[in-house]
Amino acid sequence: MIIWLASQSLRRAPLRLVLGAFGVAFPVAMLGATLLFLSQAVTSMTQIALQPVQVEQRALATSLDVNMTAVARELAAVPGVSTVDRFAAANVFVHTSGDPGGASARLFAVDPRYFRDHPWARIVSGSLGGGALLDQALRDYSPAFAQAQQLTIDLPGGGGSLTMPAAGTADLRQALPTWFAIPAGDVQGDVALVPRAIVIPYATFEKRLLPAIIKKLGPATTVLNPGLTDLPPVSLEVHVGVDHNAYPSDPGTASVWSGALRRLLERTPAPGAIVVSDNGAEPLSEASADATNAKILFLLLGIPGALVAAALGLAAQSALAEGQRREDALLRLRGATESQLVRLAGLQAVLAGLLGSMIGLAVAFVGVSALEGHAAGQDTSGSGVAFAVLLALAAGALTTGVRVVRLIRSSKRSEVITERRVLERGWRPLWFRAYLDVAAIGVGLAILTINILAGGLKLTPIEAAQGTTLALSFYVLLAPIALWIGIALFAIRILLAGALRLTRPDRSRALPSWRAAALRWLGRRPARTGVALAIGILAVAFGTQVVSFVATYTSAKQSDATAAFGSDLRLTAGDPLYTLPKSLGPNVASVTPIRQVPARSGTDRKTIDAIDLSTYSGTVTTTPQMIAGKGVQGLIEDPSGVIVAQEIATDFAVTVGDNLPVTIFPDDQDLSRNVNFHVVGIFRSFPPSNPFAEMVVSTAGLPPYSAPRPDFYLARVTVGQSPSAVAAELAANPAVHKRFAVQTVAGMTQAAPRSLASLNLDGLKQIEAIGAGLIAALGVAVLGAFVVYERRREFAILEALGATRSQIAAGPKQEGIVTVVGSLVVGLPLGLLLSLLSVRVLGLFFTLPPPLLTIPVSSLLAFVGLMVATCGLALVGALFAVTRIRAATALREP
Amino acid sequence: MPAEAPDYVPLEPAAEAADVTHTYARDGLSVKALDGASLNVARGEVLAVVGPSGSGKSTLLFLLGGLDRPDSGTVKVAGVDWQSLSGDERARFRRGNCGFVVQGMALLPQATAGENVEVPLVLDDVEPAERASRTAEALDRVGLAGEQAKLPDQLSGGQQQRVGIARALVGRPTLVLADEPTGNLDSKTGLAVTALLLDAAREGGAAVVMVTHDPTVAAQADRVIEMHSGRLSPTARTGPAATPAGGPAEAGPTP
Repeated sequence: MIIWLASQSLRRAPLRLVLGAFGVAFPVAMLGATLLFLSQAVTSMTQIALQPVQVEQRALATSLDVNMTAVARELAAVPGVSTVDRFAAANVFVHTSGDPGGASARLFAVDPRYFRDHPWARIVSGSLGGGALLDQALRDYSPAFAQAQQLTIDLPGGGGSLTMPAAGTADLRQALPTWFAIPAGDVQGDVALVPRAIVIPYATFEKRLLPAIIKKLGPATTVLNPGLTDLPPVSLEVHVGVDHNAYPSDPGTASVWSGALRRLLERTPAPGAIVVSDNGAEPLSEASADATNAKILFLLLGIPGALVAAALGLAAQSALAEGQRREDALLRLRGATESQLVRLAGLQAVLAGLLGSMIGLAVAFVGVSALEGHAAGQDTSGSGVAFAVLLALAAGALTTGVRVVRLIRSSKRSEVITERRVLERGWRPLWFRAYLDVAAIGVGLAILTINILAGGLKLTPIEAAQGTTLALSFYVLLAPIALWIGIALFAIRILLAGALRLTRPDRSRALPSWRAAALRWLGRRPARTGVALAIGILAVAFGTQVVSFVATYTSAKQSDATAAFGSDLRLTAGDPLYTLPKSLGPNVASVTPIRQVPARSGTDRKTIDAIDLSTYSGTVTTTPQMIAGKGVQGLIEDPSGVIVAQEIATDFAVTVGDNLPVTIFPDDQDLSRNVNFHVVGIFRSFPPSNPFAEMVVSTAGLPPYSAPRPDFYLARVTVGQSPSAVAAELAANPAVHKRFAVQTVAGMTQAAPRSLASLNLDGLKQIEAIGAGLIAALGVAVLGAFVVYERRREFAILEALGATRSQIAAGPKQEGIVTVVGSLVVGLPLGLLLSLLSVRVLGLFFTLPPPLLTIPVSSLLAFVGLMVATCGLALVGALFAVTRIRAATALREP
Repeated sequence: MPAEAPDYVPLEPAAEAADVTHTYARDGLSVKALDGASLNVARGEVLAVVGPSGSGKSTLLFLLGGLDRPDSGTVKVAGVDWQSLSGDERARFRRGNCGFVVQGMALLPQATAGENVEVPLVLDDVEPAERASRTAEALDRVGLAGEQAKLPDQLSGGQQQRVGIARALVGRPTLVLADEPTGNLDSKTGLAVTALLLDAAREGGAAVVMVTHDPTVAAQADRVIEMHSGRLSPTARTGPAATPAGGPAEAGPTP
């Protein structure tokens, strides 16, 4: 019976079902789109985190008599493993017939196919099959090595020797993070910059050198020693490559999966034969923390959109209340009981909810697909999409539930006339009576106050599975949400109070004009406009917040990228021997070399940037951010001065004026020296900050013999020139492009996008801004629907009194204009204020302090334009509907 | 010999309908609300239209007030055919010549009694001072001089209807159209309100067409016509035998 009644009701009023479904579809679409976009962004974090990882799992023999050939074979069979390569390293002494004195070097042994599996280790000339490959540093060590045909490799202290042909040159500069990284222990991953290296075939090593090493050192290795601070004297390894696509897309899950794979690999050979270092663990752990932060950030930025969409949905549905009440009255007359009416209303609401949820999800998928340029969820895990869908559906269910409750309550209410009178004259909604606005403002201010009293915004270190990562006090982001709701509703409260006071009947004088009359009556009957205005203010403030937040975020990201890069262009030599041409043309104003010097302070390996004081300041495009002391000027005044990063000052408890003893070139016996630097400044950021250096000195402050060749050059283009254009020009210059790689800031940002601060929020901005614009417009449309549904009789009376169409439309037009203008006047500054608060919360994620607020004028104009245009369309539609009301019909209605 | 001049100038009737038909659709069915109805109402005459529900009384009223259009036939007020007017012309003409007393909730709920009465004058851009005096005069005439600042829901049903009457008459119309002016009132108040309407209309020289179910109200009219299924039929004059201003009216039912 109820189902039949419901079907009859839907047949008679399909528009009611459509509008009801729309009320649910909107919040589902907003939340669904935000979550799908978030899922996409988080998914990309796994791949981005793994990008710099050269060898995902590193199996280390615990004993030198472990058969790594057999281990490699067994590991290759483990699911997820894509490559296995034998690898060995040992400290050796190399000499040639022309240089009997020889040189110390790090010997690496790999199979020839290692170079195919790992292109970051490169053979420049010759082949590994023909003998030993020397790195450029060993070639440069003496003319004898440069022209060597035969090499003799001795184990330090005697005990083994091997003579083999010099078969070519290897470029191992890109292999530093793996081949030169300490493989285990507390400082695992620290790079020991051993100055010279030689590469020989693994088979030769295994057959000719390994037995001698075992004989000399015994079978034990040092990889189980947690105090290992240097490269182990010898290590036997299998480098296990894992297909990045095999990792789960969510970084947190990927981190767990990677750990499980590590344990599986360890258990695969004989127990205790190997330990496995998970090189993906740390970046995945950081990405996981970033993903968690990103999820919270996206949700806190996106939730207001879903909330205001839900409010709009409920308002849209209440526009149908008049029709619903009429139908209920008719059914009552025909004998329907109250419980039947309630069940009927519930069934209709559930139907609308189901349809709306489906429509909302479809819109979310289509919207995100359009923004991403490919099908939404394509690169995302099934669980990520399922999470987004389930949460969006929950929002739909919640909206439907609220609607059912409202329908049940309204079905028990009194007559239409009384209801309308309550709504129109004494409009005191729940939030108004409960002072929700004041409470929300109080909550927002309390959060901010507590935060300030607790020491202000700060990053909280949290211990992750490996290493330390950072979590932000995201609860502070609840303050903007509370203030958003509170201030918007409080503004309505103030407007209401003012309007009611100004338009009190006992104070009213003769009507000055028809328009003034409409405005006066609006003040006395503010309910519908109040609802539309609340939705409009919330939507505009939300849209403005998102647009300006993303602009500020992007601006801060750009500042960080510029500081990391250092200048307009970066030129990196393909070979350290290459020197830069004296002139790079008229479009390059200045050039400065940057040298990175390895150092050790205590047991920690650090990097020192050595800068050329005569050219540095004129070339960098951002100035150093100092916390204490002096910057470049300090180095000019004190040639043995050092500027240290904040973490060095904290970890080593040094401040300006203190001495800081440092060992430079700690892994190079020839160059290694202890130097006592004077701390002249502490920096927060010192360009170039990528690659990161913990200390900065003047090149002139280094011992004269120890200044290495520049690692790269920074170049500043002349004023008015575009860096990318000059980069293209240099790329066409044979003297440059054959020897140097030319990079721009954009190129580097694309190459290394990682962390929360590098999230691309443009998609989120578009989703939320378009959503906010539409919400505001639909708020006006709902107002129009209210007006058309509820004031038909009033318009008919006016027509009977001789009002022209434009005179009849004057009232609704004013209500629409008041809604749009009021939404903009209150919403825009409110949105900017909230954005300012949100930026402060995320400020510490950036290297440089973000700007107070970046107001994206063009984006805001586009947003306001979209809002005004869509509102205008909605208003025109409503006015058209008003003028289509037939007085003769409306006056007959009860 | 010069032509003999008439001793009076014949006036246009306040309203006339000639062979009017009107059909509307309800639930997909075509319903003939008026079927060849003709009617003349003289200036100053009070005409009551009675008949069962759905007989076309309100339709006739809306056609006379130009709120609807006939399918065929002509409807004139003060000699002007509604069909010759379009859009805003109809609104302006109605404003100047017709006063409506609407059934049920007749007042604008957000406007005070004074503002409700003032509405036709504001729509017509009448000077504020004149508006104020005419509004006060209209409210005074219906006995609500002190209630000007009250909102409709602060007034009784009878008071609301009196405000509606004041509003219908404040524009000094040629024709007053009243749809069940006593529908929501008790009989005593209804009679008082009707008397007020008719007195005020006669005082202003306006013709009144009044749709009513109440025979005691109809009895106060100069002439009563009855409607059945969209057709008009004459009934005996039951009201007070008032002589319409401007001479006898040529008013009669359709043959």
